Amino acid sequence: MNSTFIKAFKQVVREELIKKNSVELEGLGRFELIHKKQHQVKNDDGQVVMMPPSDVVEFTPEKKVKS
Amino acid sequence: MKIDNQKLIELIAEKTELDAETADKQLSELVARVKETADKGKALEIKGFGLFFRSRSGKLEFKPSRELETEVNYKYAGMEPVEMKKPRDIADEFTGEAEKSKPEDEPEPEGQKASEGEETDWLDDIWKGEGEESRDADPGDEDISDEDPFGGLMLDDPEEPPQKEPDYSQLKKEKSEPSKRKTKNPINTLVTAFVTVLVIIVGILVVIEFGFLNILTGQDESDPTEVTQIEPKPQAPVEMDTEEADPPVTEEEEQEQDDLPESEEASVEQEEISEIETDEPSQTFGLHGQVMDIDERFFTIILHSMRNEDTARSIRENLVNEGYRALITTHEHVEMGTMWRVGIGQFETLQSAQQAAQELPQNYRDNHFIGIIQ
Repeated sequence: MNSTFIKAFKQVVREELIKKNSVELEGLGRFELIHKKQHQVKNDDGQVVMMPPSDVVEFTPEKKVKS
Repeated sequence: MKIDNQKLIELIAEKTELDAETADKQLSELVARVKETADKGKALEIKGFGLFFRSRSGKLEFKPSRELETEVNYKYAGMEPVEMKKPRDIADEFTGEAEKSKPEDEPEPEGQKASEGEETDWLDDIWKGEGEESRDADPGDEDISDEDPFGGLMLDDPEEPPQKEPDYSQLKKEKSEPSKRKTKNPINTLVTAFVTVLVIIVGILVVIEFGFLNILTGQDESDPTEVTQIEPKPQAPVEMDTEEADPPVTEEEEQEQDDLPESEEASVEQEEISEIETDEPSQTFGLHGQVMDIDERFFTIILHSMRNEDTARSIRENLVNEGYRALITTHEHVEMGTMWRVGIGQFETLQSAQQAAQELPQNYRDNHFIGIIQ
């Protein structure tokens, strides 16, 4: 694997994810951008915090990869 | 849209000089390598992308790196969690406030509930209503109002749905006259007073720090450091002036008179110097001025995206005439071909770009996004 490939791979996956496209790597799994709405989190000490909305990357492994 | 292996290879080949075949081989090598490392019980890290590893249950997992996380989440950059309710030991003292923001599932003391039932309702309604409304909506369309903790930070600013207005006006009323609602809350007033004092002190410190009072302090007690720093040049002409103007002065008076203009000039000079000093670093990044050559990657506020190069160039020229640091970048769009993007400003961080974008005129503020140039 050479570094230009890795660099391009990272860029392409990132750009596609930002465009809300899912990227599937054969034999590995699928990357997706998931939107998390704002939600309240309650800590043990009674503190309630409102978490901001966010977009997160989620990876789902391909069935075969699960050993 | 789904990007499968084939499409991914195409995109990678487009980005580099690699032909599709090599890219294909490299990709399968990467996949094999990830699996191999994971099977050994180790984690494989792709710098700036993430970590592949197998969890204890044997499932392959991926943890995105900080860089990927922030770049993918650029829409909500800079949003911090907001505290809705204080930790328990403090909250107990704020009985009225704490009770109200309590979620429904938590049991409430009977008496409190009866007396404050009405007030509890509106708050719960708002949070419930907001949650339900935005459940299926697009992130950008989420409800924005002055009571939304993240309202000010959102990119889009859709209109407030009219049916909710009564709720907010009620809420505002409640907030504007807290003394009537609960007269026995001295801690609130104490905290407010303390914060006010703190703000005033900080304000004074800032004013002194930034040298707004330089001239004043210079006159009051000609600061020795200021004078000694810039002694050689300004001293000579000033002395000449005073001597010629009014020769019959005693030694003491002369000294006093000397001191005054000298320190004034010194402080003015120092201001000039400090201005020059602060100017230079800010020129590398910023919204206005000339476009700089920056080796590292930087962020820019992209206002227009054109298919036509000439249109993009003329828009850029207009923006330059308005005093912005306008630049053009190209972007290969999958379906539309080459897009010419016109951006303004160069910023070191996403956050600073975001902040600058918020201060743009209305027509730009509503319709922009932050781009990364690397």
